[in-house]
Amino acid sequence: MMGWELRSCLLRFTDIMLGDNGGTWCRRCHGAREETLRNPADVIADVRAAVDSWDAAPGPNIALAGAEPFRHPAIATVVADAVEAGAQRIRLDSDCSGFSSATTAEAVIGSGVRHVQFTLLGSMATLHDSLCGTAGAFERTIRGAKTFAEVARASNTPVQLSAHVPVCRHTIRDIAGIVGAAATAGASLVHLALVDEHLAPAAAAPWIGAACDTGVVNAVWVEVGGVPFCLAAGWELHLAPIYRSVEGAKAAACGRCPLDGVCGGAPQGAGGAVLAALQPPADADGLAARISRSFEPPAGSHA
Amino acid sequence: MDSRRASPEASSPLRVLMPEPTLKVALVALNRPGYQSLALGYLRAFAEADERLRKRVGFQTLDLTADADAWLVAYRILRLEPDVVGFSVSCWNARTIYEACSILRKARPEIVIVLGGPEVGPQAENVLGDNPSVDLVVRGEGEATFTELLRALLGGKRTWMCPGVTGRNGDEIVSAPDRPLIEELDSIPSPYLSGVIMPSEALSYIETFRGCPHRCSYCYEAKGTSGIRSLSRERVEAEIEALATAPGVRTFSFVDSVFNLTSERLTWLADALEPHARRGNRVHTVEVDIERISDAEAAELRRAGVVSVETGPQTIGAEALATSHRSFDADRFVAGVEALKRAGISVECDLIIGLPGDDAFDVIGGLRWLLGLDPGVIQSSTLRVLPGTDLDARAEEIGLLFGAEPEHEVIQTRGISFADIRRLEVMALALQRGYAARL
Repeated sequence: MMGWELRSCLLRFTDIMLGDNGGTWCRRCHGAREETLRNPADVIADVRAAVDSWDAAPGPNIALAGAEPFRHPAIATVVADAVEAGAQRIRLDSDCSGFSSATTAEAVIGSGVRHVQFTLLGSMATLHDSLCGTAGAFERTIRGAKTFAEVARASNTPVQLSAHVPVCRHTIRDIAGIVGAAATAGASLVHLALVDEHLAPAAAAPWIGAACDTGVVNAVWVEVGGVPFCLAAGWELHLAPIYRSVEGAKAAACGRCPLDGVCGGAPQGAGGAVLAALQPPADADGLAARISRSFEPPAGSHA
Repeated sequence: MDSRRASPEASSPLRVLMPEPTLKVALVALNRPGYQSLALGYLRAFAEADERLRKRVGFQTLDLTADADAWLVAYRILRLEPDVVGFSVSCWNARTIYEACSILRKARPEIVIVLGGPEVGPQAENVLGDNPSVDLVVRGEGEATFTELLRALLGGKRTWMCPGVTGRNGDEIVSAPDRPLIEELDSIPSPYLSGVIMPSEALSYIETFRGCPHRCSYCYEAKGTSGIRSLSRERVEAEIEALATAPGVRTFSFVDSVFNLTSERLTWLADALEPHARRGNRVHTVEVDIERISDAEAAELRRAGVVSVETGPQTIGAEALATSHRSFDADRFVAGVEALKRAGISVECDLIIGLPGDDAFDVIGGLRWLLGLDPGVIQSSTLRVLPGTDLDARAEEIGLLFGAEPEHEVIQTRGISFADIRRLEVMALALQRGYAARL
């Protein structure tokens, strides 16, 4: 994992770890990992701490991540506790297999969950299943996400489905298709996160730009983490730092430029060839000023 | 226009039993499901009260949905066998209506097709030029003009000479002079009190005044006029009583451009609404000038049974505010939202994407600022450059490109490219969904 802000850019969620090494990841990049689950009491303590320390509207918002929620024996208790503590938005980071039945989806929505984020590694079963190492995973995820969306629609409950797409050497050529698959499943938001330090951002940028365009024409917003502004000419609006300030998060590998305050910069570990390709945009000063303006309250408002 | 064209029965054997020509009039609106057009209600109530039209003109109102297919719209109209069809045209339904007019003209060449409403009134001659199927356009306030037009049709007179009408004199498109606004709004019978509109749950609206104190450059609410014309307190109270006590109606609303126009007015509205609020009636989605809302005004809204309000800021960008002729005081805006939240009233804050003067980061800044304000509902829409508005008149000067056809959506501005406007639409939609998805 590189040193960028890779979480949702539109709404802020605090990650509450249900465990470690869970979720869906590219096995060709990371190999096999053993999922472990945390003690429910520790999870609940984290939930309460996150809610109590929430300091900015809108929220508190928590994301139950790190392990498959449906495998955690105390997930119902954790969600109930989050509701009682005052969480405004609760997100499950899940492979959606638990939503295979509408009854389960109804129960989850009834418990207070309004956001679900699933991970896709491919636009079709053969690609996704081979990269995550689980036969049938793609179909279960898509079907579960659709069921969740349909149940919410039937009960007139506002929910948001989002997709997380790790961008690596093995997924890069398929990411536009993945965005389309996410749209078909009902997602309104896709997070593309460049997570492979062996993948040159300059080589990845055209694919990512195409994925962003696929999102626009399918009414799905694609936000991108891990790509510096100088490689996103023409689609800067998709870069996550525009929506959440990442001041100080810029990787040391990248040289100083006018966008330091808003840009994630070059990936950590980037080699000389990558760095040589990075040049501040021609209007970097103006762009930095315009982006920074969106982080300031309007004139005359209280801070 | 002679009476033979207006009244197809004239050539039938029944003619001898009818000493005077008669007209069957279909009034048609395309709106959201269940909504009964208040504009058509006013038109019909005014015309039905006219002594010279009484017993000679019969009305049918068709409230169809905005997503209706033009062929089915035409089908529904033709089943009524009208002599005259009047459409209420707004930017969101104009294309369907134009297509329906074309079908109607071919199916029933003798039918008289009249359009009115904010989409056509300000560009009446262009509308007639572009749509040969359309006979007449009513400009501006329609009640008196439409009634006089029906009188002219019955009398075989030249309809295009009625003040407020643009029509055809042979191949020529001609506009009669403008008609003065109706000074005494109480002279327009209430559609509710006259039984023209049956109140329905959450879909009925009361109008207490016409006009708007603001002059926002993208809005047609003030219709190029200055000043506010009010309905009497007695009339408004009677309409409130009618809606609040109608079977099955617990919630209704107001179409007024500013519900809290003055503190005095808000107080008497609260006085009128409070007894019904105590019995469980609720008022939803009234538009307010939020920068004038104090805890005291919020309490008055609460007393009136108001559960939700709608407001700006539309933009927080300084240049766009200036171009739009809007004022914005962030401190007062925040204070208004907070006062309403303390009173338990949901606030919907609206932003417009694509206002001239804004760049993409102004729009994003506005969304971020509203998120931080956490008003309850955040709603964005893309700028429509409506005919007759200041933006329409100044579009070329300020580099504003928009669709010539309805809905006149902005294509690009000097500050935001075509692609970025589309991106912002999708991004804002995702943000709104995420924001709305909460406990």
